[in-house]
Amino acid sequence: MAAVNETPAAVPPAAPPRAKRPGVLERFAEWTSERSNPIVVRYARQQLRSRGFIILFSTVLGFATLFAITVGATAAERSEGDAALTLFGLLAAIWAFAVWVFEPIAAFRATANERDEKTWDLVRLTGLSPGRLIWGMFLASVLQGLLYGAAIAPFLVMAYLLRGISLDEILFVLFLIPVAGWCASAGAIFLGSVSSTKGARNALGVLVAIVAGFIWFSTLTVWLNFDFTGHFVLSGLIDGPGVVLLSNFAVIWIGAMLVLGGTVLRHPASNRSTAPRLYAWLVFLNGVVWSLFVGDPFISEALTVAAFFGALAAFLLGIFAITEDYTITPRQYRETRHMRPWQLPIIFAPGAARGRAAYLALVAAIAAVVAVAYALDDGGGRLREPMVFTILICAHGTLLITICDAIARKTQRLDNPVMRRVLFVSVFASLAFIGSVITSLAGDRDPIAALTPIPGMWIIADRPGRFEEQLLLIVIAGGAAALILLIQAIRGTTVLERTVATKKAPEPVATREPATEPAE
Amino acid sequence: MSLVEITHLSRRFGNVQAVDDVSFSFDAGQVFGFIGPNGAGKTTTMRILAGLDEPSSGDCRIAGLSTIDDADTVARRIGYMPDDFGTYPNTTVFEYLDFFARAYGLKGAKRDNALADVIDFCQLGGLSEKLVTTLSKGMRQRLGLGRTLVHDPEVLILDEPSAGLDPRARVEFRELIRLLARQGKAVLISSHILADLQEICDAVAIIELGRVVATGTVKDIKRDVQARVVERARAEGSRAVVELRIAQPVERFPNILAEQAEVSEVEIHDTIASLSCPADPEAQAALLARLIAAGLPVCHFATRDHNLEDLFMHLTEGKVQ
Repeated sequence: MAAVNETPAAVPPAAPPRAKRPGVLERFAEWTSERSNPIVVRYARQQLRSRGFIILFSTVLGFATLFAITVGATAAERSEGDAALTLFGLLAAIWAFAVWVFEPIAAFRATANERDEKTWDLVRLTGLSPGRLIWGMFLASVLQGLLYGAAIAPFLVMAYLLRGISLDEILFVLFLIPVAGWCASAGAIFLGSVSSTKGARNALGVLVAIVAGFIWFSTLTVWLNFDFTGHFVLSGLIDGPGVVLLSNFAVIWIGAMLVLGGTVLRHPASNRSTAPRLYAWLVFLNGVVWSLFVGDPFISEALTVAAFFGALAAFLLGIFAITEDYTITPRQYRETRHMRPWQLPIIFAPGAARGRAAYLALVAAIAAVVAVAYALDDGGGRLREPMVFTILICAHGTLLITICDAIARKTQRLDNPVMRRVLFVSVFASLAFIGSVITSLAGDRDPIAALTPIPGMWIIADRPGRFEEQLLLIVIAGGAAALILLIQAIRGTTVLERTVATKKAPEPVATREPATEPAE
Repeated sequence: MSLVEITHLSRRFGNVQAVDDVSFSFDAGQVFGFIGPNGAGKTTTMRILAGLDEPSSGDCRIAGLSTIDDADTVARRIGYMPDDFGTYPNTTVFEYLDFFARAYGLKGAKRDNALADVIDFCQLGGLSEKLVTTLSKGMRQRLGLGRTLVHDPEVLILDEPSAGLDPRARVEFRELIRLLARQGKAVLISSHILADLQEICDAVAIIELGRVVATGTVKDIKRDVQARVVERARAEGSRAVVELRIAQPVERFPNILAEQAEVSEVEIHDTIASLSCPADPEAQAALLARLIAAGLPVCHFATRDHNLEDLFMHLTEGKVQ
């Protein structure tokens, strides 16, 4: 690219002074920056200048210093261990505020600002994948959390040196606070990606602030009474396999939020089906793997829990997959053609037909796991309630989504994926509300209330013997709906034809002047 | 096959037909102007061409690849500058461009060179360390152009790039666009400053209510409009403004003009007169003959030339959806 003022250099430029060889740290920083997600690099640069971040970082550091000085000065007057627990609780509370409240709000704002049409269009054009963008946002948030952690860390060491608090407790809190913060940030990033409408973004922003603030405020008791909570309430998690389970839940949650966020941001003509469908299966299979490998001697219980979470994942999968269009875009078709057989395009490729297949396959797998759990059950009946609940989620979900989808496809105004989902969610919520009203008026013995979603599920799962007929009716109706979905799944997927081939393409316009003619 | 082809493009938003069967094409090295009143469908067409929106029907192709179905591949060949683009807080000009260069996948020395070129081309050198939020409108537009060029695209889509710029900035911006076309880039540009487009465009498309009402070179459109004007003049007996010049001052100049029954609205400045007469060319020829016969040394007799603004006003009715 030539410069505007293209004048030949009359004098050869002087040789530049020999540049000083960069040091190891500089080279490492350059190497890292070169390989980093562009979003992380930009976010880090922005944050270093952000007044909000600088003020909060200084505040965290200032309060930590103040707490340390105050507690240290009064340590001699307190009983042994009391000073350490007090200091630790205060430090945890302020750190939790930074990573549970400020960090998710900052992550939400950053994502929502990125989603603003004026900047989002420009980012989309670069070819930076939505997945990388969302991942970059998350990494930036993690980095920010680590910076707050770094500010607090020396004071936590001081609390440990004051004695009275175990290393396990410190390590657990060092794990819990940032991980919970990352989970909150991942949720905030997803919410930030949901809508490009300013009103919706503002409303979601308020929601994030309220929820984050509420969670922090409600856990203040935990931190400010750490002598009690640390030793009793959290001790099960600290000593047992709690950390591993929590880690698993955190990874599943963060993954779900990032996959959904990335999917929302993808181009409407691209494949937005495979990732969330695959993730729903992963959630289910994750539970099954846990059950088989670490569930012993409670494999049937663990399998039931896995089936329950799988049913929730299938429910969400059904809402998105079944309501897709039967017609896919040429871009989706091309991506489908590139899928290998082991990638199971029959259930993971886009389109309503394959969406139905994906949903039915997951429901079938859940049913199989419930059957195995039932067979392995020692007959105590403890598992009856969650098993029935799981079956009812699948049956209600299948029945309602089939009916709502059919109605939406026959109504011109509702015949698009978004409106099909809106209709289903509205009908489901309305029926659940009606069920709650009936239950509150007629009591939980009313057979009609037992037929409704959510309250009905609780009623039947609580006493399946009393509501055998209703249970059977819902399962048969769900089975019939599944059969309809199966028939619809066999229907072929068509590819959208964009160009009107019968019309002649436009003639190119004549050039007024040769492109190479020099400027006036 | 042209580098950029828009074929029977339509876009409907609910009940509003924003773009209706729009087709045009242009090639590398050409500047193609896109003219239309607000709400005519210019931005929608440009967004679809940039791969940011989907058409209800039709297609846009760049070097034979669909901007909808091959969006990821085509995106790197397109530079899109919207009429109003967002910036990031707490970000300098250099960091802003660096972010987009990274996002386009430019690494190491290649990125450094691309940034240096863009900063030099857009004359942003003295502003590198300035925060983007503090830039003036003109500087922001230069920054926007820099961002658009950072990955060296083949096709530039510039939506009202000179809106809100002062005259000097407009002229400078026009120069940059000319230079880019000479470098072989295909440029699609929309603007309300029609004089700007007339200066730099090889061809234009005039769009109203989502439909292209005229397309081709400015010269072709002028000829077409002129023919239509004449046709209508004959049918309706409408009038035209004629510019008349005489070789040397004649004392009876005003009187001779006043004697012509079909002449009105005469304005005279020395040897030049502007007058209204029938638009029918045969009536104008008869008038000219009478003026010469009356002793006027006529050296110029012509209806006023249509500029792009006239053509635009003539072809559009100012309707919006």
